[in-house]
Amino acid sequence: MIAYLTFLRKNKDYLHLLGIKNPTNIISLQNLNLTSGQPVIVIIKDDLIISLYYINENGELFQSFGQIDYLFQSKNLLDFTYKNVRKYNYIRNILIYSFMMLSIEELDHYSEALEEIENTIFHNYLHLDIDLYRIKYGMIKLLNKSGLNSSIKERIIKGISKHKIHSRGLLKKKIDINLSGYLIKINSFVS
Amino acid sequence: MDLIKENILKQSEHKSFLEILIALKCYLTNNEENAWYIFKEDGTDQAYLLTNHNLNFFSYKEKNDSLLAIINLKPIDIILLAKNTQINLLEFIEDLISSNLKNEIVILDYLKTNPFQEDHLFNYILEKEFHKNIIKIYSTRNIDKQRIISLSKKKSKYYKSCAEKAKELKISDYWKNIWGLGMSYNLEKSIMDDLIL
Repeated sequence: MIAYLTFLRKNKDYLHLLGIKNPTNIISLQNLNLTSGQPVIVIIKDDLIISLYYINENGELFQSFGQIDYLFQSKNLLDFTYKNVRKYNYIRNILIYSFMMLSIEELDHYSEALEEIENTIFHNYLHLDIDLYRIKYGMIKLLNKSGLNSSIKERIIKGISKHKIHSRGLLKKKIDINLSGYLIKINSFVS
Repeated sequence: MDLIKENILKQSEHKSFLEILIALKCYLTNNEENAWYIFKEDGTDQAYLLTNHNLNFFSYKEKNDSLLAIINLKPIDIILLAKNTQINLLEFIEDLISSNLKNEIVILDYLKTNPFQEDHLFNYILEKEFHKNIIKIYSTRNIDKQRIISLSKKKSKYYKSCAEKAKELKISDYWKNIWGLGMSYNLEKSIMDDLIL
């Protein structure tokens, strides 16, 4: 039994846990509300996912797959987000900043389209070995092709172009996980 | 983390030690612009609230930053700490705060800058039966909070998409420009409608 912290990659019927060979029963996760770029904890035993946990922004865990909380029995959590966390923080930071160019009403109205764009960006770039500036241009290209109306598109693209990372250190910020109550240690030294 | 704890304890004789601890708590809970008050336990210092609640949120940010500097910490140092280290440090800080109180009570007014937080200050002034005019101001703020958070139709409490997070930040920005500024605490009525609509 091994516990992993990793990112999801999802596109319609395709689901993958970054850095891990797809377990036999990965299809069982299709009914869950998952999106590309989402960090999750999965526990795998004999090539089967036996538990999956959502992680909220405060690092709290919510088990959403499996009946037993196997994290209690795990000693190590292999952090597979380590390799991609800079890209994750960068994309998320840029998207939040650029989406803030829209009004609250627009964010409500276009929420599904924006979430689809977010999913596509994470799906296309998070797993790649790519420079951050190239991700930025890829995002602009994708938005230009999207079906959003031109005023919305223009403002989001302006936001992306204007966006600057104020602290490079922030990009290194690891995924927050609150493991209070568990005796598990995080092993981040995974290549 | 031991080094941070050491730096904190080295300042235990500092005249603002309690304030340093509170500022650190604000950072550890992601509320660095947060207003905070050290009330007398008997609730007789309403004037203290009236003097201090007029301060703007950015004044508190500056104050918290300068308090953090006393223990040789920069905001980024706290942000980059692993979650479990933050939790551990927070427990340490909370213990120190409790043991440094002398017939005082600390109230962190998270709601001043974040409408998604609990209104601890309002609960406190109700409990201590503050003057009706003070209660009126905070009652108005509380009603405004319910209205502004109704703008946020939360889809999932687990993972927030960037669009959801952007919307939440926009709502918080509106809120900060109303109740995060000192002048709002002198208002007789809410100005929320004008600003949101």
